[in-house]
Amino acid sequence: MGDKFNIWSELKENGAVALLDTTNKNYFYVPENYLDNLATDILRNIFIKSLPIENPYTVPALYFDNLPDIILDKIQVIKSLSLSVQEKNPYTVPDGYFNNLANNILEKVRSLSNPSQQELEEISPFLSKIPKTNVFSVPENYFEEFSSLAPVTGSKPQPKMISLGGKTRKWINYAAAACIAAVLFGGGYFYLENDKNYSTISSADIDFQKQISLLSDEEIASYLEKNNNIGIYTNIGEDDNQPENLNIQNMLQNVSDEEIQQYLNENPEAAKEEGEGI
Amino acid sequence: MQIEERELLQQFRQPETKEKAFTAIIKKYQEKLYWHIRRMVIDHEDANDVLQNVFIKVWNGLENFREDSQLYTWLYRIATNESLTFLEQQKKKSSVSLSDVESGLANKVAADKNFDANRLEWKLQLAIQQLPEKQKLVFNLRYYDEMPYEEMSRILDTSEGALKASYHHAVKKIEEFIKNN
Repeated sequence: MGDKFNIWSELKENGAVALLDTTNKNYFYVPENYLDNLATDILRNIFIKSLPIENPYTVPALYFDNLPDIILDKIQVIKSLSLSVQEKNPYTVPDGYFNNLANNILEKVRSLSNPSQQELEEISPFLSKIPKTNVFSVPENYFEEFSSLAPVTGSKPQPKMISLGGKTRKWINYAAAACIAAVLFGGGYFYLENDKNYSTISSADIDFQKQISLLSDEEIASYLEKNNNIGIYTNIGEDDNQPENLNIQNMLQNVSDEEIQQYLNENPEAAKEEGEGI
Repeated sequence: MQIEERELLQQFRQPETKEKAFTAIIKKYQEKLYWHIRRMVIDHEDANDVLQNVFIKVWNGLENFREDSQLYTWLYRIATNESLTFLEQQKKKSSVSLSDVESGLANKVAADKNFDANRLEWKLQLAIQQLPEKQKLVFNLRYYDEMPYEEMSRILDTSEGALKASYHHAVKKIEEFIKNN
């Protein structure tokens, strides 16, 4: 306070009126809390300045010398990576490889899931490559027709089976009856011609089928026995499959009544004997 | 047993649906069984006869079928037995030796209207006919029908090991035949 008074008195004596303004106005700016933090800041700076300034890290030898080349090489690598596959791939691929690849892989997958195919490939690669195509042919619509012929009773469809025995037996009977009718007709005809006493029935009126039907099997057989030169016999009731029966049956099937009549006409002796035998 | 097979069996056992079920069974299995038979007997007419015999036996025996196996296993068994029976009858009728029967079947193969000795598939057929019957059966079931050995064992009443060995020998014989012819 004393010093301040002395300075003020001195200025007044020297005429420095402007300086005598006692409002004590500060024209300079000072940051907030500057003076409060000043001591701490100074001490920190003193500490930092006391630290060593040597670099503890090392760098490879000639690192900085080689660095430009290294970077340029890196740039080249990056450029080459951006090239297309075709431009940089030196390898070739068989024609159609990718076109067939999917099918080949699928076959492989199938063989892996198909143990039998896999087994065959192991045992015989040669055989496994032979196509399993079906070489045998089947008649057209065979399976459609087969299932439509599903048997009802469990027996084979009748049209496919022909029973020879029964029909032949019937034909034998008819043939035998026809032959007997023809023989008797022929014999009866000549008999009637020669026997004037047999006048109640004319040859034209005789119903030979009806007459024969009145005869018993024994009478017919007996007649035939007596007239064995006719060479015809029946095997009604016997086994029809014997060879001799079949031969005669075949002959009888092909012989008509007219032919028998012609035979009798050509062999009057046989007809006469028959006539006498009645 | 598969559901469809069980349903067919149930329908077969009902009088009103018996025939319908039987027809369905025929349609379902006829081709498989036909080809199984045909590969054994070769000739179509013979195969047709045997196939009909098979289904007649099915008609007569299905009522009592014990469902302890698949239906198609049972069908295959019948077809196999009928084929073998047929071949046995052929042998007796013609009084020829076994080897003659095999060569006879090979001749039937060669007699097919489409036969082409230069094609591998036909050579394969000729080679198959050189095999004994049982081995031929094993080969056909495994090669064409791709049947598991377990299933084959039930059909042929033979152990799986024996079947595998039989198939292995069959393949080798066939390969040798084709390469030598």
